[in-house]
Amino acid sequence: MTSRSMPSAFLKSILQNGIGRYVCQLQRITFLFSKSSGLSRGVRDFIENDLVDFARKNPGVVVYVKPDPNHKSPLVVAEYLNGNKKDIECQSMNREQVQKEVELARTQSGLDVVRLRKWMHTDNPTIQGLWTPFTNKPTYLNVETFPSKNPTWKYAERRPTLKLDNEISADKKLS
Amino acid sequence: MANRAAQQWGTFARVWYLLDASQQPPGRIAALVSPLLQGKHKPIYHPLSDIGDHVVIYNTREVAFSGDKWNTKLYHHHTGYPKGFSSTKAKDVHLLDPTKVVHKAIYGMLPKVLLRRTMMERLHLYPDNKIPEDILANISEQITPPRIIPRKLTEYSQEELDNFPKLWHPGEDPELR
Amino acid sequence: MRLSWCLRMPRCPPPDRYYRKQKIFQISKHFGYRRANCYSLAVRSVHKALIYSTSAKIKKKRRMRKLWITRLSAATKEHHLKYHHFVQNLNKSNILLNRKILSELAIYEPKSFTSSPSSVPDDSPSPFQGQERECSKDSSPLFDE
Repeated sequence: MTSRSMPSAFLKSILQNGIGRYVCQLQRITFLFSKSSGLSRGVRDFIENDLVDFARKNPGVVVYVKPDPNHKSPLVVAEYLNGNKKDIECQSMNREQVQKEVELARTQSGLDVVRLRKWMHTDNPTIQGLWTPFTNKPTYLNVETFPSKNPTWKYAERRPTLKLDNEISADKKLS
Repeated sequence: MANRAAQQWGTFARVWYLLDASQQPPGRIAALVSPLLQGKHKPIYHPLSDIGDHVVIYNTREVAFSGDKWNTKLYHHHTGYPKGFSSTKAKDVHLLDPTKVVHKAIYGMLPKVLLRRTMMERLHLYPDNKIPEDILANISEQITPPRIIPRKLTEYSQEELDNFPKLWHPGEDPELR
Repeated sequence: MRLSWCLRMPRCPPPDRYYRKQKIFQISKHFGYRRANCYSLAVRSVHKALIYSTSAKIKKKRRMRKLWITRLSAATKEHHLKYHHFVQNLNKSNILLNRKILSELAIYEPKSFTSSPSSVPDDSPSPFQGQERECSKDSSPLFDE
């Protein structure tokens, strides 16, 4: 895929969720399925066996179960705190697969899953202060009057390389 | 957290440099100044971000080409029409506009991108040492000229002349002196 | 046009043709003129775009390294050091930081960048010079052999 055809975003978290306390971002989950269709069998199994446990463990999540003959292939709709809505198609899934999908929906933040421009983010990029043009300038320039007789700005022209103790200089090697 | 806006103003602040062009070759001036106009001397450099500095060059009337370049160096121009070609000696260009030679040298050494004109806007050229007060007030640093100017014999004091080691002395004979 | 498939419905096109084309149109959505919506034009420019995209991934790495080197040479020149001497010093002191990290240090933590032993020349007029050298020789793992 070309990078411009994909939506992209920067890394973010909702109010630093999980650093102090964790607020489940999933607010409402709706199971739309058919009572008779074979495509909905895994969802029916999940509802029979696991759904009550799920609802008990997550009191913050509203759970709707809607048998609907129009939904022969079942749909799980997850709605998040930021208003996002995700449709999960669970056609011909078995019980374990539905469990995984629901668990994923519960732990997600609700933000769009898009390509990330950068894989890291910090609120405090610098501790010592950002570089400025005046960071490495000599302070006497503050009181200098221009044009001055002793100009300062120069490209590097010395050749100062590090000398380690164990290093033998070229003239010693020759002698 | 520090004030982000102030931080940004500091980082992207523009510095004004001053350079004396007297007795300096225009090409070496350009080699010194073009990275400054591009902002290549800053660790935050990016070719698309406009972070060049201002450079004020004075005494451009006194620039010095080496060799016989004033007579041999040609500046070409074509109007685009037939017979539209013309070439002018550096000498004549300099007589018409004493800042033109330095301007052209620097313009040629900047990258051929859309930002080039913007960078040139930050170059301030003055033919002599009369720099406007408001421009001079901005300057915060002066650039060492690229070429060490040799001193003329007239600029040496009598004491220095007397102390100069000599292999041979012409004596008192006025013809030999 | 993209929507003309419904006019040809009576002739029964292959059932997945619409969806096959949508894959192409999804990529060509932001292209200009008819290349965005006409399939025969779109598919050509999409193939070309994918080739460009692949080659750009390789070129980007090269370009970024070039940028870091430009930035580092600017940062080291502030300390009267040329880039290649700086790299030479890094190798001598066995510092394994890469150019990306070093250039970010120069921007975000300029003091740390200054105090790294290889960015400071031996005859630097810095008043902290002597202390730094002694400290680094005694304690810093950078100078261990």
